[in-house]
Amino acid sequence: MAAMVLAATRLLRGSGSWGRSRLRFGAPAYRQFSSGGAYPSVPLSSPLPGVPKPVFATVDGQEKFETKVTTLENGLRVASQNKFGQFCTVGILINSGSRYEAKYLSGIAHFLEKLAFSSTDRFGSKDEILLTLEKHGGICDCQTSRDTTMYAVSADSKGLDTVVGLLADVVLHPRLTDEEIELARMAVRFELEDLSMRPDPEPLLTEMIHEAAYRENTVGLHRFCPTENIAKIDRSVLHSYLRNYYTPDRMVLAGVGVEHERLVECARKYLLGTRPAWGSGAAVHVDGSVAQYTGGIVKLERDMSSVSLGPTPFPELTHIMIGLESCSFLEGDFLPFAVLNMMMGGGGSFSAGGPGKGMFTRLYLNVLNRHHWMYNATSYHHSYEDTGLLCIHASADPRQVREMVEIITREFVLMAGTVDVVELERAKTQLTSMLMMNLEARPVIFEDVGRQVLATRSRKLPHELCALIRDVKPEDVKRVASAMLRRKPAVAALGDLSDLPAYEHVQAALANKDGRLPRTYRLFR
Amino acid sequence: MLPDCLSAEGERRCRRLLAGATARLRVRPAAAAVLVPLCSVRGVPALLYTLRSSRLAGRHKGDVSFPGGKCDPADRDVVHTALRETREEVGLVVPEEHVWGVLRPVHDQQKATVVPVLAGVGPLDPQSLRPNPDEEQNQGYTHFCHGGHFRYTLPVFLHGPHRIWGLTAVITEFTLQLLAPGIYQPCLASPELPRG
Repeated sequence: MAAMVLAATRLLRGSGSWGRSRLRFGAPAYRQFSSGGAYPSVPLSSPLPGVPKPVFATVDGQEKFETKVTTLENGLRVASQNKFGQFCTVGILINSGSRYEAKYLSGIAHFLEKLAFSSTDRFGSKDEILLTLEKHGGICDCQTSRDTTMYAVSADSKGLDTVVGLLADVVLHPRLTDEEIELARMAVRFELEDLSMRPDPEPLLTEMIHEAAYRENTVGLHRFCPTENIAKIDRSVLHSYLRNYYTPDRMVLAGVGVEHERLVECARKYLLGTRPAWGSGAAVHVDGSVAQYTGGIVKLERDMSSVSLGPTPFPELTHIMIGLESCSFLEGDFLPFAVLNMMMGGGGSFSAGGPGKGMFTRLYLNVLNRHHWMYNATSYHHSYEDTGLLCIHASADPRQVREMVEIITREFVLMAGTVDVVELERAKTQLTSMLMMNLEARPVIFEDVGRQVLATRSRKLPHELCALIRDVKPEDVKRVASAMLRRKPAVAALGDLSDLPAYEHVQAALANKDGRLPRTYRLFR
Repeated sequence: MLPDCLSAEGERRCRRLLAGATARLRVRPAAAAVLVPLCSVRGVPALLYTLRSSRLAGRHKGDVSFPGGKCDPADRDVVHTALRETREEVGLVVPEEHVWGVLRPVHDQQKATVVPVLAGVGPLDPQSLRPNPDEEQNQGYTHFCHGGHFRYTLPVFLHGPHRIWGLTAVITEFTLQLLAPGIYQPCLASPELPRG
């Protein structure tokens, strides 16, 4: 190939009339793509002669960085986890959410989520904030849940000072103008509409099961703003809530990929001694309620025959969720519950499957593989600092609701039966691998650091958690499942509920050793 | 201070405080009555609770409560109901002279009244669960809403293997308020009457 190219060039060089265009034809045609000719026999196992020796970055086996926590004088906790990389994730986590809204208008947390990163004292508008962040290649986000609010920024590590300043401003000095509140109202209305319209009922069912399990208290309060409160929430209502809950002792400034001393320095500069926008009075009414699990049933009759948003029809389904109280994430029994949840697994019947998808979990093997008419059987585990909820979501055609409920109660009762060792090992391996895979992402490490320090003031490192997971034995799982089954169930049902068994029957089924519903004789089927 | 509440002086004080309510409420018809057995376990004052079987169906399965039950038409008054039910449920025979008085009635969700009857039962061997009234640091509270508005606050006791909540916690609070008014901080609050 090279010889042919050389021959062609000599030809072109030779002809005089083409002389001027030689340059045009010269270099591109002569480029050699293989260097086989220049370095004929240099083996790849020894360094190139005449080339400086490279110095590579080394990783010395274990990542020995541990999470460092410092508490400032005003009670604010600063936690950081160093990590190799050019970017860092920094954010503020606050112990505030819908569970503290008992004495306030429901929906404040939802509004605060939509109003996050809007105009503040130093930044005139959301665009200014985004432009400032763009200079450091950063993005920002706010997420609220039932018990935690998280404001997070991911940006270049060199911009740490700007980022912490921005976060402090956004959390403590928001302007909350009427225009922004109006925009937030619109966003909340859209989200509520979306929730009621979408074919996937999971967020709505999660709301309902919490309402059923914790009737009218703490985590059972509405996470999304109810329609009647949208117009009532305004600046003064928000300030009255912020005054009590956005206090330094309820906050953690967490950072991943930053030096601890630098982060503490920035925290002292921006978060110590500042007067928040709502005035610095002492927090008067802080809700310290303990979540009380009551059990119960919440039904929502709705016509689900045409939920499809596009031309393809979606089958009419009735969704039920049955839940039982588990335990808080601070207790020792939390990991057996997590392993149990992984063992139950489940998902949608249209899953393509594959390794790691849980195809050998109990809800797939015993429920979805055996009953073709079940569309969905998934288990979830929600855990808070004083309580937890393990629930199974199932959906099927409305005419088969009774069988569906019986299958689910049977699965619950079998949780307290014998646990096969192979099954347990598979669940533990799956849990460990999911934990480690997720903790490779920096935003997930940030959330883990923040939440753990917020709840317990220290952090269990991943390898410690893996060791604890490995120690879970079949007896632990059996014990926690039996304790769970002694409590009252919580049931949430959505769709056509004409065949739904009564709550007392569900309760009796869970107490029955086979998980069977009590026989009812009906004259007309 | 607390061991004194079981002494003769403490008993007289409680009987005196409850005398008015007892006279009024003793014969008034109520849906149910429970017995609050004030006993002493190894010399320490304690309350006796029962753990309802999780085999039973019903709203209170698996819960901690005081011995008691629905009023029978054959019962003379609420005190008789409480003593009879205690004898049937726990096997504990409490003679009527040991009854100190009747506490404030509480309403459950169906607006049925439940009347707590306080009685001293003397030293007991540990049989079932009984939390120590000393452990106030394990006492919490929960705010309840209804229809989107804050309605009431109920106490919850977290000490021990079981959590005490609901009406049982309310009755425990009344008892502790009566026995140790200086030490115990009540947290039951509502704009209206407490509803279980």
